[in-house]
Amino acid sequence: MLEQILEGISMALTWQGLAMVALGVFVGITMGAIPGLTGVMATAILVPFSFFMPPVLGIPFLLGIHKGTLFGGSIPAILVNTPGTAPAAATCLDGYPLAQKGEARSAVHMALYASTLGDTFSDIVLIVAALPLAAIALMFGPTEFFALLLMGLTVISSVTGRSVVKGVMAALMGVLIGLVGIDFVSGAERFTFGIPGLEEGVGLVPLLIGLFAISEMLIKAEKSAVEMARPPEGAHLKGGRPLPLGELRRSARTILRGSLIGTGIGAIPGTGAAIATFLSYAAAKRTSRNPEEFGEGSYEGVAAAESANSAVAGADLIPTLTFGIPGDSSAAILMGAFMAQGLRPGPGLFEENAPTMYAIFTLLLLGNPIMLLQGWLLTPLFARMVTIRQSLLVPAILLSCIVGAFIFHNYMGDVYLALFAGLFGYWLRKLDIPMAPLVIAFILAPKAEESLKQALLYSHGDFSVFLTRPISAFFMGLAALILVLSIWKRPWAEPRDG
Amino acid sequence: MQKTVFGVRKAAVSTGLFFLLFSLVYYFYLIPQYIVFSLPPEGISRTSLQPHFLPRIVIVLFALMSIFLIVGALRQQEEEREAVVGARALFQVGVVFALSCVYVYAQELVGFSVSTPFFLAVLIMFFGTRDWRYVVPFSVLFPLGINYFFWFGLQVILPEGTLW
Repeated sequence: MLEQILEGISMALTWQGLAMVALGVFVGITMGAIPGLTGVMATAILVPFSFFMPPVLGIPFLLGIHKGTLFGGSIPAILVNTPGTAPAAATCLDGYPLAQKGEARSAVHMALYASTLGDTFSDIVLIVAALPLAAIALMFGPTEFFALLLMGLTVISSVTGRSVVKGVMAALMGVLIGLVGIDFVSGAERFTFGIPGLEEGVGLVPLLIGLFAISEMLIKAEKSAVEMARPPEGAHLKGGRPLPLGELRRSARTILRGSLIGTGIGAIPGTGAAIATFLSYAAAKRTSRNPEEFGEGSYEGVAAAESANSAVAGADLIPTLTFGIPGDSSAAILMGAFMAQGLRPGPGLFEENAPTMYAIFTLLLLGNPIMLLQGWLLTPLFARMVTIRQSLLVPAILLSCIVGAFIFHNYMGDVYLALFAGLFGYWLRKLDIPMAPLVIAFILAPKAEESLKQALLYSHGDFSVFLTRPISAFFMGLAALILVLSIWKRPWAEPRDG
Repeated sequence: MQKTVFGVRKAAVSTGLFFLLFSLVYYFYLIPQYIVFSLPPEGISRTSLQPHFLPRIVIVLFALMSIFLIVGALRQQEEEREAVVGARALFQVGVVFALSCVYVYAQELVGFSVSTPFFLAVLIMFFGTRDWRYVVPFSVLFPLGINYFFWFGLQVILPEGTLW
């Protein structure tokens, strides 16, 4: 094992490896700093670019983007009170008041330190936890694995979004799309309509680009021309001072707590960074010596939100890499990238690709000091991104989506697929149907069907096998419990806002 | 204030009905017609291993969820005034989508380099920026940069068009 770790480290420590992480972090912070461009969207658009690189470069590039967007989202939150990404919403509460007091620079620096520390913490937890968890998962047979996938899907469908019905509906849509292609048991063609490109199933990359990026651009296209063409109010870092060391010291405990909360929440499929940030913020306010400062411009508030937000980055990869169950949309996209690179997330990942995985982990860790350095040196540049007008941004992103979908297989059919997936995603967003269960179910459907059929083959078609084997029965029971608890009130219930 | 095309309730009910109809078509038409066996069906001993086993279960659940969606929407308080999408917004989304489709088709005919500057210029102006100091450089230089990056950086040839 030590030999594999050393081999992985030597694979990682090349100038190309470091350059790709640095590029990923730079692109991520830049995209995160543009209001309305989410990390999920940035990763979805840039996934096809990673296919031109070997896994030890392509995956760290995407992980760098993932990291960068989480911190980048705090910049517009602090400067113009508009969160660059949804999880950065809690950062607005104290970041913007600080900027109004002329302390924008130090608030961004606090966000940077808290993000870097939170991210580093969760990366370490990921590295320490991944191998033992994968070893446990290796003991699962198809019966246990199907039950585990079903439980994961149930959790994601029930927890994501505001309505259980809509979550389950989204997951079922994902399964239906995932069923297109050749059935592995019988060799039958399912819903290919004679199109050769569909024999291998619906392309993951065009689907991701359509659902996450094009749909978002269509939402933006709803705005009036006046709104689109108007440059945002000037956001700048004029004046201000570097973050006083005392403030950082005062927030150390908050950052640690935020990192723990972010890592804990991030490791649970279907939760995500937005929940973690608000939980961390609430906990920090409750335990602070100066709770009255929260909401008025508290550095602790910024630290609480940002540490938890970034701690999710590493933690949501724990179920993804060990069990093959992506915890949220970002993890689902990253899982797609792993699969496209020939690395199959799940129990066998570490056994089959140990040096590559250690190389990826090394670069994942090194991405944190790189982010710190870039944040320090380039914050004024990133702050300029906040002011890009939407009338230029939307066409540029749409073009990038179209090119990204095309280069997946150099096939125009993929571009049309991405466009129609975008329109479909637009309508789903309007109806508040969450996208994450759809994509995760789409990715998991073939594996789940394979496990189901293998389990039924071994049991001679007896379905009770899922309830008679203890681990499988445990997962099935947990899935049922979660579903029942979620629909306790009424299956169609939608909690009210606020 | 723009005219509401779809209120929250109307949108959920019509989508639920559409999904329900889709489920029926899927179950009674798509499954029998578009699952093409490579082995004779009787060669696969168990129903649970047949290729239409999972699609049938999933679509039945989907139909059930569609009914829940409709019921849930009908039981909601009257919220018709809350718009899912207004007439102007729907028009703008339609235009952007149609322009994108036309652009992709144009790429097949005249190639990336010729079609992209027009696409970008039209979209930028549609979104309200009419200042040529922005429109011209952006719509010319951005595609040039992309083309250069793909050609030299990734050795990928973007569509060159079938007309020439």
